[in-house]
Amino acid sequence: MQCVTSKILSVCDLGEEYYRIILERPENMVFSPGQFVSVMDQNSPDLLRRPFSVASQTQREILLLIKEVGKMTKRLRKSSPGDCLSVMGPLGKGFDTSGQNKALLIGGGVGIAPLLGLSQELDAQGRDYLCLLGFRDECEPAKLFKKTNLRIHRETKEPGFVTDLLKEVLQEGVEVFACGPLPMLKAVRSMCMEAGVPSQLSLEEKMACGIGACIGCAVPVKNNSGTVYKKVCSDGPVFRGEELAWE
Amino acid sequence: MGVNTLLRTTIGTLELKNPVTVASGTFGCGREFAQFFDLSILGAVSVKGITLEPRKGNPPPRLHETPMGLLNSIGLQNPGVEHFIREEIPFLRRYDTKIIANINGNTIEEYRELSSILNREDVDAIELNVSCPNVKEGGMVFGTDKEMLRRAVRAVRSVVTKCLIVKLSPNVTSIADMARICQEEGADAISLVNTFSGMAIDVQSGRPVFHLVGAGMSGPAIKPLALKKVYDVYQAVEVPILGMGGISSGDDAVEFLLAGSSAIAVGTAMFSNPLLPVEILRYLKSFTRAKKMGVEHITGLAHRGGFS
Ligand SMILES: Cc1cc2nc3c(=O)[nH]c(=O)nc-3n(C[C@H](O)[C@H](O)[C@H](O)COP(=O)(O)OP(=O)(O)OC[C@H]3O[C@@H](n4cnc5c(N)ncnc54)[C@H](O)[C@@H]3O)c2cc1C
Ligand SMILES: Cc1cc2nc3c(=O)[nH]c(=O)nc-3n(C[C@H](O)[C@H](O)[C@H](O)COP(=O)(O)O)c2cc1C
Ligand code: FES
Repeated sequence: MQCVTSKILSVCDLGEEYYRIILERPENMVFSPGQFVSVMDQNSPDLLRRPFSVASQTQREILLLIKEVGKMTKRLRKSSPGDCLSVMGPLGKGFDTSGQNKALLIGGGVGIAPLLGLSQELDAQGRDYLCLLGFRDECEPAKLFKKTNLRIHRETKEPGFVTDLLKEVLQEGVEVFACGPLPMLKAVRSMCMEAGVPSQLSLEEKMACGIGACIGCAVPVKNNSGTVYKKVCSDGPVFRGEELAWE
Repeated sequence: MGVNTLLRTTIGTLELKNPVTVASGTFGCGREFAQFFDLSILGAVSVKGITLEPRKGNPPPRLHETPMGLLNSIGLQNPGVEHFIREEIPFLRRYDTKIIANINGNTIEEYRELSSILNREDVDAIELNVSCPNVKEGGMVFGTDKEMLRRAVRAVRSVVTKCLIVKLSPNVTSIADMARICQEEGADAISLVNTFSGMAIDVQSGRPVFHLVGAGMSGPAIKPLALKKVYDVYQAVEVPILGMGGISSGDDAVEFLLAGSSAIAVGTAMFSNPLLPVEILRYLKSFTRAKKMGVEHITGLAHRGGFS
């Protein structure tokens, strides 16, 4: 793990809500799918860094897919090539990609970010997979994904949610990977548990340190004596659906 | 005088090679930050709050950012004193830094038992936290009620032979009165401030953000408030002060020394800049050299006419 300055190479809109930032990849910072960075812009008026999944990486670059929701995501969108960011990473434990079964990748909104890198990893492994991406309306970011094995659900076009697509294809012998809004993750988890299918869910929680020191990013997880709180930033952000102690 | 002698300081019976320490709860037991810098540069590490038995902590959300401030409601989640002794003391002993054990309890009996256990272990000081705002029982009542504070310090002092630091809550009418009580009961030093009691309300749901409603406020937003508390306590008591509250730069650290701190602790500001303790130490080295004055002389200098 390092904390270094990295240059912004490009900022590019993906519709109204989303944009992507390409950063110079700091030397020796290598990410596995599902890991994240926490960043801070120079002269930031905010106290805390912000966590973002590394959506994909190449030898020289890392790509962040960002949804504008507030202060820093607004500022980052206005940044220009050459501006510097302080980048801390690689953070967290990513997806376990050691399985062999067909993979179903379910993403909702900006939650598709970590699935991009995951899909690229599965491509490299030659593992069979299908991406199901759900959006409220705009689905520009889906263009980052390979068109083969991709299905998109837009709530404004079709009634229902992306989990309805999952219902159609969920069967024994697959493995599910998901990231998105909490209600989506809860639905995915219970569908998978009912179908006896293993799932890996990438969670979000407010973070302060991002490295496991402050215990601020708690998520309830089952253990033999009930539940304990684990840390989303360092024990996760990816957890197995079965281990989570959500009501 | 060499740089090293300029930085030397003491809090009670605890001799520190430099005044830069880290605040309890913001640094875990050091493992995470050890990835960024050598913990041996620190004067001391105050570890995450310890309790007799493991504590589960509060349900999320536990954090809320405010303008240059942070509200937290962690609820003292920790694996208990046994785990601390078995895993964390040996880890920290690999570094040349003092270990301050931050202790917490619901009852006087618990404080006494925990401190007598730790007094037998390889730690350098015990920091009695009577000021945690994030637990339902105990915690802050010991820091806000004069009689309770007296009883807590007396009970712990009766079993602790190591350096005893009492960590005070700023959520009182007169922190100077509380400090006097600690001094009367034999505390070796006082650390302040713990977090200020605060809250946030979610305007969409219309309900408080935190389950316990109140939360502890830290970060640069509280710095001027914390500094004044240190200044007031310095005037009230003889025992040395470990000062903290929103320190985010070398100048902030110097301010706390001038107000009366013998050593300082960095907390919340490390979340965005994990190398802050290193930077503050470097700054203090050049500051003391430029002023030709050691930390021990700078401590409290704002009360004595400043540099002149
Ligand atoms: C592990 C992890 C990976 C993430 N990956 C991505 C990603 O790839 N792309 C992306 O766009 N976003 C991602 N997020 C969410 C991102 O961190 C927040 O959107 C960002 O912190 C908002 O910052 P802001 O200053 O713009 O918003 P603020 O002004 O701080 O807040 C605006 C709104 O966003 C909400 N918010 C703030 N922080 C978070 C958070 N951590 N999670 C959820 N909501 C939050 C606030 O409650 C508020 O309603 C990730 C979060 C986590 C924990
Ligand atoms: C996340 C978090 C956890 C904390 N946990 C403890 C604790 O366990 N014991 C304690 O005495 N103080 C605890 N504190 C208080 C800090 O040690 C410190 O007194 C306070 O944060 C003010 O300093 P700062 O503004 O530099 O962070 C905690 C603070 C934060 C932000
Ligand atoms: S954000 Fe500090 S432990 Fe996860």
